[in-house]
Amino acid sequence: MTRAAASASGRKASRGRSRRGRVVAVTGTSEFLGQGLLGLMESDPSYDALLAVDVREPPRLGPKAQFRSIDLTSPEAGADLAALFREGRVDTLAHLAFPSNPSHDAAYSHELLVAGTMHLLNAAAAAGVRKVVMLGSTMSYGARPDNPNFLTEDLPLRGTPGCDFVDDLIDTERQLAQFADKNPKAVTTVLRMGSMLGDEVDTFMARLLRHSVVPVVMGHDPLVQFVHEDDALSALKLAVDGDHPGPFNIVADGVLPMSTVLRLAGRLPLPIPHFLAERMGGFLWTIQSTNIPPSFLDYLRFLWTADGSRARQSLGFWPRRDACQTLRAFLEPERQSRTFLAAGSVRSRR
Amino acid sequence: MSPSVLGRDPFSRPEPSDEAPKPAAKRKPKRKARSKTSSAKATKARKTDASSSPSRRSPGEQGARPMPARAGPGEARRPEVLQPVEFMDRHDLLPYPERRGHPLVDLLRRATFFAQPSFYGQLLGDWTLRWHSQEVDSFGFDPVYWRSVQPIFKLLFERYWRVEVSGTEHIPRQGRVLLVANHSGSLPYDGIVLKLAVERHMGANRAVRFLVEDFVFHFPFLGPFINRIGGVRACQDNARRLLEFEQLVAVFPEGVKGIGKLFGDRYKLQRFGRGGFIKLALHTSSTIVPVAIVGAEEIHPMLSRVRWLARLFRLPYLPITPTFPWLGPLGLLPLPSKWMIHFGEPIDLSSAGPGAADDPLLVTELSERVRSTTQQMLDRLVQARGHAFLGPGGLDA
Repeated sequence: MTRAAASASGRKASRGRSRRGRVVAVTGTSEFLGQGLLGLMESDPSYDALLAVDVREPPRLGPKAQFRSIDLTSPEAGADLAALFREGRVDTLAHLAFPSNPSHDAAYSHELLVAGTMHLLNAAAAAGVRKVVMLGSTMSYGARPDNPNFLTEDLPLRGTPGCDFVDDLIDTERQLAQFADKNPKAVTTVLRMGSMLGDEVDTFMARLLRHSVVPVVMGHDPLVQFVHEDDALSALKLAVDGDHPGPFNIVADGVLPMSTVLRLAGRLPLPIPHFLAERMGGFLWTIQSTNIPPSFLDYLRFLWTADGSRARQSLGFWPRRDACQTLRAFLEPERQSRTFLAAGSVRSRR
Repeated sequence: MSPSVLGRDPFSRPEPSDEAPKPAAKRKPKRKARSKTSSAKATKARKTDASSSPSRRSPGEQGARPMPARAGPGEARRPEVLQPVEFMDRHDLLPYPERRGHPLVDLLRRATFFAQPSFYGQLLGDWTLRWHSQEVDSFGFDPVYWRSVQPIFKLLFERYWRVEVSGTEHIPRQGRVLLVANHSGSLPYDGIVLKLAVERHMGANRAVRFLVEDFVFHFPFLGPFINRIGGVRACQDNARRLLEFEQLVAVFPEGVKGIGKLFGDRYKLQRFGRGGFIKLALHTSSTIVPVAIVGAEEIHPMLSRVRWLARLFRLPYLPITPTFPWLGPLGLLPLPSKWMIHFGEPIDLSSAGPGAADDPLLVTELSERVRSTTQQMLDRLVQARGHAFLGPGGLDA
C-alpha cells in the first residue's frame, strides 16, 4: 500500500514536473563528461529530473538524479530503456557512453558503440524523445594527406583504413542520421570532439603525452588540435540546453605541430620509420603491451585538423583555452609535483 | 583598517597569538628582502621578465600569470589566427617549484634527475625551440623556422641561381592577391624562390603562401618541411580561406603536369587545370597577378619518366635526369641554371560580375586569357635570359 502510494505520488510529481522543466537521460555517467553534465544540470533549474544510465554507479548523484544500471550491450536494453524513458517522460537523451579509446576487447567496444547506440536510439524513437545529443570525434574524418587544413562538418567521414574503432564511431553517426530521417521532429546533435586533454579524460593524445618518451613517425609532423575537457563539457551543456541540429566540431583555437607539442611538454621524441613502427606497433598491440593500435599511426602522420567555426556561430561555443593553454593546463599537475632542477632554480641559487 | 582605529599602538609588536606560525613569519621578510635586492640589481628589462626567478614564487602564484587579452564571444577575432603570437613564456612550463626535503633526499632526486628521459626531453625541447616558434599559424607556417632556414635559400637565390626579379611594382601592397605562375622543376623549388623574391621586395610581413600538390605531403620530411615554411596543400578550401585572410597566395595551375614536363617541352604551358583558380579569384574577388618563372625548368632536366617504378613508389612520376638516378642522392641536387622572374600587370576580374564563377564558358575563357598572358611573358623572358646556365650574353660574356 505504501509502495502504491509512493508510486502514485511519484507519478503526480513527474506529471507536475513535465509541465515545469525538462527531463534528461544521460548515458556513460561514470565517465568524466557524463558526471560533469549531471553536475551542471543539477544546478540548473530548467532541468527537473535526470536519469543516469550506466553499468557502474556514478560516485556522486544529486537529488534530481536517479541511477539505473543498464548494460547497453545486452539484447533487452532497448525494451528496458524504452520503458524507462516513457515512465520518466524523458525528453532529451545525451548519449555519452563511448569508449574514449580502442580497447583490446574489440568485440565489447564494437557492441557498446554500434549495438548500444542502436538500442538507445530505438528506445528514444519508441518513447518519443524530442532531442538526442551524441558524442563523436574529429578522428572520424580520418587522417589523410589530402585533407584540407580545415575539415568542416559537411565533409564526408572517411575514417582511417584498418581502424575499426573509428569505423564504429562513424557507424554511430550514420545511425543517428537515420534516426533523424525517421523522426523529423527530433533534434539530433553530434559533438565531434577534437583530442581532449585534461586530468580526467583518457584520449589517444592524452595517453601519448603521459609518457616521457613519445614514439613518433619519422619524418612526419602533423598539425594537432586539442580541446580541454572543461571546454568540451561546456560545449556539451550548450548542446543539451538549446536546440542545435547537426554535427559540430568542438576544438580549441589554434593548431600545434606534433613536434612543438613534444618540445613544449619536454617529452623526448622517439622517431621510428613508418614501416618499422607499423610492424612494431602491430606486434605490441597483439601481445597487448600497448594500448594504441597500429592503425592510429596515421593520426601521427597526416593532417586531421577540424574547423570549429560552426560551433562558434551556431552553438555559441567559445573555448576558454586555446591549444597551447590546453596543453599547459594538462601539464600543470605534473609541473607542480615535479621537484626541480630547471635552469631557473639553478640560477636563483647563485 | 589601520591599528590606530582599533585603539592599539601602531608600532607595537604583534600579539604572540598571531595566526601565522613563527618560523614562516620569520622567513617571509627575509625572502622578500632577498628578492628585492636581486630586482634592484637587475635591469629594468629583467624586472619585467617574470621567468627570472620562477622558483622563488609559490606554484599558485606562478599559475596566475596574466594571460594575453582574449577577445570575448561577441568580438570578431579571426584575423589573429594567422598571426602567430608567442604569448607563452617558455620558462613557465619548464622550471618546477622547488620542494625542499632532507638534503640527502634532495641530492638523490638531483642525481636521478639526469637519468630521467624527461630531463633530456626538456633539454632537447629548449634547444630546438631556438629555431622553431612555439605557435604556428592555422595552416602550419612557422615564421621563426622560415627565418632560420632562409640563409640556405638566400644563398641559392643570390649566388647559385642568380635570380633576377622584375615587375614587383605590379604586386598590390595589400588585399587579396593570387599570383599565378608557371610550374616546373620536379620539386617545389619555384614556390620557395617566388616566396623569397616577393618577401625581399615587400618585407616579411607580406608572406607568400604557395599551394603545393598533394603528393608532397605523402613524403616524410619533405611534407612537414614545405608546410612549416609556408606551403599549403592545394585545394579550393585552403586557398579560399587564405585569401579571406587577405593573404598573398601563389598558385601553379599547371599542377603535377607542370613539374613533370619533359625537357623538350620546357616553357610550354600545360593546361591550366579546370580553371579552379579563376573561380577562386571570382569568389573571393581577388586580383590575379601572372608570374613567369624562367630557370626552374633546367634545375632537373627531365629526359624521361618511368611510369611503372613511379607507381611502385606511389609517386606521380619518377624522373630520369642527366644526374638522377645515376649519381644517387647527389643527383637530387639542382643544377645552377640562370633564373629570371617577372611579375605581369594585375588582371582585375571584378568586371566579370558576381555570377561569373558559375559560368563554365566564361571561366575557361578567362583561364585561357591568363594562360596566354603568362605564355607571352615566358617567351619574352626566355629570350631575354639567353643561355640557360650562363644567362644573358651566354658564352660570349
